[in-house]
Amino acid sequence: MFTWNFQFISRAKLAETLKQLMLDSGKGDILIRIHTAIHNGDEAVDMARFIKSLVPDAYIFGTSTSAVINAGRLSYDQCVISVTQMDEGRVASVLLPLQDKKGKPRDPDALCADLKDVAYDAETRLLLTFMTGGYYEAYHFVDRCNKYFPGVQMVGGVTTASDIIQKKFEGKGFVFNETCWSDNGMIFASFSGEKVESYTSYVSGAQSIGDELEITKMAGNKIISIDGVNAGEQYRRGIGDKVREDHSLANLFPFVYSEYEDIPVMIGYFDDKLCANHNIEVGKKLKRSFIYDRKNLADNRSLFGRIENFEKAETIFAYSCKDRAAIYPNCVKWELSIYENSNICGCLTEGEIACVNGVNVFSSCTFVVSVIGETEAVQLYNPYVFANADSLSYDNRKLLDYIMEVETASYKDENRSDDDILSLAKDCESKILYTEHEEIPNAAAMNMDIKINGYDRVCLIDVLDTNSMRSVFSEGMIDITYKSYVSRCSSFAKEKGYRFYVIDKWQVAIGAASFKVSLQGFVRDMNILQKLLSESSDDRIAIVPVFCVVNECNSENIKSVYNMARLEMMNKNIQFYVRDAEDDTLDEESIREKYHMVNVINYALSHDKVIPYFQGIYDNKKHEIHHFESLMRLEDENGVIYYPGSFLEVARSFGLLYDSLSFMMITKVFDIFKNIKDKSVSINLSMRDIKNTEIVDYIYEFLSTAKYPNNFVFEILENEDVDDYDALVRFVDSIHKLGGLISIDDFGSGYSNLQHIANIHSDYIKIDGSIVRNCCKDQESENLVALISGWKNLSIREIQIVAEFVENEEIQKKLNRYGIDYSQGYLFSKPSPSLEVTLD
Amino acid sequence: MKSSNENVKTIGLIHEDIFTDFAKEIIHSVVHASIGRKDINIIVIAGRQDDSSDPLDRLHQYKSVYNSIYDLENMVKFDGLIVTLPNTNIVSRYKNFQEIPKVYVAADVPGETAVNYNDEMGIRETIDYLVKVCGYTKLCMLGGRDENADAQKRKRIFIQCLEENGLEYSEKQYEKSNMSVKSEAASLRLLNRNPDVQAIFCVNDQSAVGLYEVMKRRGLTPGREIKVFGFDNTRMAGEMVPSLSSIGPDSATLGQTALELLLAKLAGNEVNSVEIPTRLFGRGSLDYEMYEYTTKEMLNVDMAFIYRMFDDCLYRYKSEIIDRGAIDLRRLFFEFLSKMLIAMKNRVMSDEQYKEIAQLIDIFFENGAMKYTDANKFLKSVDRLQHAMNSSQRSIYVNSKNNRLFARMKDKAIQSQAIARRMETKGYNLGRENIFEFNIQTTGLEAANADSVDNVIANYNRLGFTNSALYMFEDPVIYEMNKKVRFPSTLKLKCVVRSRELHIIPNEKQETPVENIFIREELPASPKGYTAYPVFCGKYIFGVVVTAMERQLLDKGEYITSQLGRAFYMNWAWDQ
Repeated sequence: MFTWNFQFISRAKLAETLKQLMLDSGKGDILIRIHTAIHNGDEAVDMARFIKSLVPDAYIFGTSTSAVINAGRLSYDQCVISVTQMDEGRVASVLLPLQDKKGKPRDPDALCADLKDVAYDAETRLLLTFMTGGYYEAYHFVDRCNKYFPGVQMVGGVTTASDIIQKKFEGKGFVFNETCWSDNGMIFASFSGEKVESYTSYVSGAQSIGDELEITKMAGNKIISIDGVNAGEQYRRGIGDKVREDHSLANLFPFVYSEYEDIPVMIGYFDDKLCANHNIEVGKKLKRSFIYDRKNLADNRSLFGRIENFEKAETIFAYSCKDRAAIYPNCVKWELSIYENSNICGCLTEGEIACVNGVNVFSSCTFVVSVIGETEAVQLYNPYVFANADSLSYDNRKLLDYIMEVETASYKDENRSDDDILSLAKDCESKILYTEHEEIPNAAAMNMDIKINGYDRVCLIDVLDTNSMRSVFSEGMIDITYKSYVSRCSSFAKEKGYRFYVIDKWQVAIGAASFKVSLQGFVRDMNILQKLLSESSDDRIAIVPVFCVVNECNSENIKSVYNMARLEMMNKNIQFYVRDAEDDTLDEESIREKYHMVNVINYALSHDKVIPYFQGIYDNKKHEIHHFESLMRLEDENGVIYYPGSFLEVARSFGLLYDSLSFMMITKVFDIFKNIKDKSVSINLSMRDIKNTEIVDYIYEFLSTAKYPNNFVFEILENEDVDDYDALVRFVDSIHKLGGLISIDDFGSGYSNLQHIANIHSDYIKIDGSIVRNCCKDQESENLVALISGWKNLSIREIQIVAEFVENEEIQKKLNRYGIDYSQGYLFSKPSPSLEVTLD
Repeated sequence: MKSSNENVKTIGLIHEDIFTDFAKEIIHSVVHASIGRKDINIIVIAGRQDDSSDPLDRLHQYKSVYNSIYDLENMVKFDGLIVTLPNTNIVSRYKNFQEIPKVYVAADVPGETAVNYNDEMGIRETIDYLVKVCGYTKLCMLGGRDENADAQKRKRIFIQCLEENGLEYSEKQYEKSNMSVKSEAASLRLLNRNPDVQAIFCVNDQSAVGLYEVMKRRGLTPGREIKVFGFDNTRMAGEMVPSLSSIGPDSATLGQTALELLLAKLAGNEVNSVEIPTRLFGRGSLDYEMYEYTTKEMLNVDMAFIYRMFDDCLYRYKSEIIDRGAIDLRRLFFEFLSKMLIAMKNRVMSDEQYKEIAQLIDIFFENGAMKYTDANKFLKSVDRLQHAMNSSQRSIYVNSKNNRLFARMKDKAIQSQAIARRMETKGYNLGRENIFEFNIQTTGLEAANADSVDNVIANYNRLGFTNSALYMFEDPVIYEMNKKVRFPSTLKLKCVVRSRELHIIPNEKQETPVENIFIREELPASPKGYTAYPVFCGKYIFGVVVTAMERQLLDKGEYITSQLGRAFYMNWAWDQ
């Protein structure tokens, strides 16, 4: 068997693909399956005819749908075509009407008999079945099939219609082949053959609860009474009056068949009336149920386990209920992604045929999968998806909201009849509020406690870097450590009357009610717990849990507050932190400021508003200004000038912005000074610039062709974290070779390694401004000036000393006394965009 | 408080006689409203109310020197002022004060922003009740000073309300008092003129003290023979025996609103004067129920109902700014009361539930619930609640358990009051011992010498301040009657007490410009701001004591600093 799935794009493309597939009915039967969300009946038949003209012997099996499943994804406006060529097996297909000539629904037995004539033999293994909506005998029909076709698995469901079909053509779901289409029909494709094997199963995610109920009266598809009482009223009492306004609640709490436990019977609730989406019979036993994330996960896991082990996995059919996609969108996305690299193909349906332990059952709200093949084949599955099932829990939101509402309302309950609802809510809680293995309240429970029980002081506890643990310790040791960690936290919490939650592996939380304990008391207790946990012992791995107490949080902000706190804890390397949820509102300002700055930078870059300013540097020997330091300024669209202090930090955090600013600045300064002979300029470079080959190459290139290369001095910040001295020394040497000069900026401010400084053969040293500014005020600063000026005499190279922040005559006099070569500061010149400097 | 932070706004609170209940109420509410706002610092500038101008009156002399502190504070740079002065001309005396944005409290100053009570609401509520419900016809008023605008306004409203109720008014029913606790003479005159009086409206809570005294002497009990009600609903009202019914703010307090207005003003917004609605808080001297407790509401276990009950029982809570780290008493009250009500409704209460509720009740009282009410009011409200619950009689079993819980509440309420009282007495005794010890240590047999003043400073911590600082002038400034005092521009920070521990500041670091006296780094950090008191004796002004704000200190700060002034005087005078 061979199967190829592709999207319908155009007839030409379709013809081309079919040609490439080199289909040959001589080698085996061909089935061409079409699920379309973009054609109406006539168009679909037209297309089928076209295909038939290209592959005359193929069987065509077509249905409409609201969305197709192709390559593990759900697409709402596509048509998917799946071509299957059998090896030895046989395919048969037939389209049967669901009404007789008088317009009455056909008897299931008659249908089965018809089907048996055309599409069944002793070797039939799988029956692909689609019917259009409104056939209330669907349940009976599937039930009868078990009798007529023993040992045959069925897969398929009820057709749906896409929005396009519904709106454009006002049409319903339909089935079609090359001869006709029908919105009141049923289409089959059977797979038979000695070697043909298939496996069919389903996922529902439904958890049954409570006692067995018996349907005592039906009228068409309406359930009139259950256990002898009015069904609709009973149902509403069980869920709560809210279902009157919110009908979608019924999707959360479907009935399931008592004998299968997890096959849902989708029901609709309207005005105390219940209708099943198909005709179940009086006497049928049902149970109530609800659908939640972990059951979905577990069901998918067991389904996948079996599919993965099925050897003849040549073709995969998948049909998923459209309600499922609406209520559990994350789950549907997730479960399909397991098969994204396989040749899975299918569509959305309105009711499905599920095969439960060899018995075919008409069901609702399920995801049915069938694998079929003649010879051994391997599909590429994606089991890693199971490790990442977080998104599933978002599907619980509606259920959680419901539970919360019930809990809140229980304060007020007027009469005791609400016990039903409470017990339902309790049943749901026991499943969705506890972790899978340890049965400890989970994150959802925490959110609920925060929201309705006033547990708004929460301490989040996390153990970091547990991955590295794995490389050193055995799994068993880690497990013991984990268990003791959790149990110590939990018993401590219990003892103090707090709540304990497991959020994730190694991440736990302790909640306290603000009406029971003050923040101070809670923090004190958490401190004790942290000490307790850090106590080491021989049989455990030593761990250092980090604690973050969030005060007055709510279920919306706790996550973001915690993340922000974690960031801060990491930066400051602290293990215990108390944060008020309200404080974070203040941070918004700085974030907004930051993004404003990003805008300014982008504007400056794109509008050529990176402006070099120049500050003259006074030559204390020649008593004139012939050297300038270039300083970067930005201008925004309002003409406001920004200083590096306001934008450099932001630019650095977006590395590329910084690089662009630097580059623009350097080119501009070079441009201004390239033809000036008697003036020289300093350009600030950071370690990032020096490591940036683009910038460095540009500088080298410029210097090598410059007329006066020694007019260019590159100022390197000495206090910056210079992590690569070799690169720095290389750069310095290259500049020297090319005739440029080097200056060390802010000398004396950092914790510099003198040896490194000595290795950098600088031509200038600039004394840090804070030293200069204070040299007349305190002796220590003065000593430093003396020391640095003395360096000059010791150095082998000729070094000139520059003092910045020279603000008054007093300082200037002192500097002269120490023979400082250059002075820079407001006393002589203020930064300005022009080079015209006159001495005051 | 750091000078480096330029966003911090320094707000001055100009007030006279800060030991009065009304003043404490205002200061407390302003300070409380500022808690949690790191950008505000409150500094209380305390003066003394001085009605006298007799140069030989010793009290007038004392107050004149005391009030010279305004001349000093005038040099401190304030961003805004909250002024609560019956006599607003203090502000007009000082030029700097005039230019700062201001909000006046309980004062009508033409063209200025002010926060006032809407006196009419509370007074009308009370008089309507007395006339229409109780059927009284003889109502009198113990009024205030003629120049006090509030007193005059309240009198006007009183008369108006009587007339609206069809009662005649004559001046015989009115007697003016000096609005302080010394109102006995006035009360006596009023009672003598109106022997058949049924209810008396006191212009403020303090003036009721004198009336109580006079009534007691005549064998009359407020609330029984004569209903009495005051104004301002100060804490004192709850502590009087029998407790005084009083008209007070319904939601926000004067101080809180004043601060909000001032901040809005500083932010450059246009602000209008505000009137705060008032209501009558019924207590022993005049029974009155602000809220009804109906059985139906109780059976519904309505959230809003329980919270209203809380607001009634702990009526001060809603006008306080509660520390975000503290226990949420409101929610706690809701938790245990709703559990009790649900038990009553469902007719079941398990032992576990009972224990849990009892535990919650204990937490409630251990965390200072009684700070937000007075015992009389609380017990009475609880009583009513208990009565209403018992009368609904749904399950005798649950009722008996609930009654035990109510009994526990009452016990705890009384217990915590008793503890508070004991602590108060203890604190008072401790304060007395401290001062005594200080006096002994600063008075010796040997002649005073150069070390004597230093010795006083070395004993500064004995005065009983928890957090405070002592600034002194290089030389004492000499006050001259009716002359503006010229203070030097710097003071010396001599010592600091932090958490009761004394730190002497070395000589070279003492010098402090006047405008920096509240922002020196050595000052103990105070999230609630500072109060400044002048240190003087006779005409010699030695310096200023700056203390971190503490409620109890408002009572005794002036007394303590006067002792300090005397000690300096004795040791310094001999030294000369």
